[in-house]
Amino acid sequence: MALPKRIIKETQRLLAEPAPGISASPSEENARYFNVMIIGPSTSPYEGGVYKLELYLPEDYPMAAPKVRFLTKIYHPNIDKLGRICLDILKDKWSPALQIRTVLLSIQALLSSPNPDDPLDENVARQWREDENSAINTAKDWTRIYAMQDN
Amino acid sequence: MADVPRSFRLLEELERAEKGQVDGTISYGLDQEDDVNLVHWVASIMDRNGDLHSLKLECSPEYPQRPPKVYFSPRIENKHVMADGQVSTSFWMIKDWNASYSIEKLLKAIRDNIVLGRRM
Repeated sequence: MALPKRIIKETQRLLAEPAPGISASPSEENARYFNVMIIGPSTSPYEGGVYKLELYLPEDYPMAAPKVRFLTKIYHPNIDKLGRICLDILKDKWSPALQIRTVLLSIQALLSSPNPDDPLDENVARQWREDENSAINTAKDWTRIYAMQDN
Repeated sequence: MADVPRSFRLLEELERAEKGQVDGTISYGLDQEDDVNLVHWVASIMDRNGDLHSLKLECSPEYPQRPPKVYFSPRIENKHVMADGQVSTSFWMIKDWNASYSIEKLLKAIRDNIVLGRRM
């Protein structure tokens, strides 16, 4: 099946002009499946970490949102233990005017601004609300343990 | 059809179960909630008397091209269940596995043809 022109264009642009701190490249076997890396934003608890994600453009993209999840473990109230991400533009706020690039920039922004009032992982969110400093320390520990190895 | 990667395919199947969209006489989920590779699953099937039978499933890196391994734990007595509890490759859905099948469809077939003993 031919790849839609829109996906080809987006892929070319992602490779030619990558967004700062983000890389995304399609897999050789499946042009709809991308290996993604996001650098932990500075001044966030994830600073210094390199996060691997996987992204898939479903059959009905861009009418449906891309599917994305973290492969690197991360301590964040809007990301669960399987790496699933709670982000409105990946669900009901998706619009075909958005792109792979905007999705990845939004995920990068989510790392800078965790939102414990709309949690995916209730335990993490509770710690974030009750003792933010200790939650941030745990997030920094996880960054060191899981996101800095071999990089 | 676009080729859905194994991980997103299994996450979709998990989401159906989490949202309670599967048949009420079966249930399934991950054995460990942080199993990022989505390999080890647990399931249960309800029989006519309302008794639950527990199962374990293992989805290899080749899923859904290859079927999961399924074990009754504890074992139940059936010609398609081996000594260690594993559902044998003689069971039709495992023998004639197709990538469009799913954990849910496999559990339903096991419920119908092994637990309830309906003819295949």
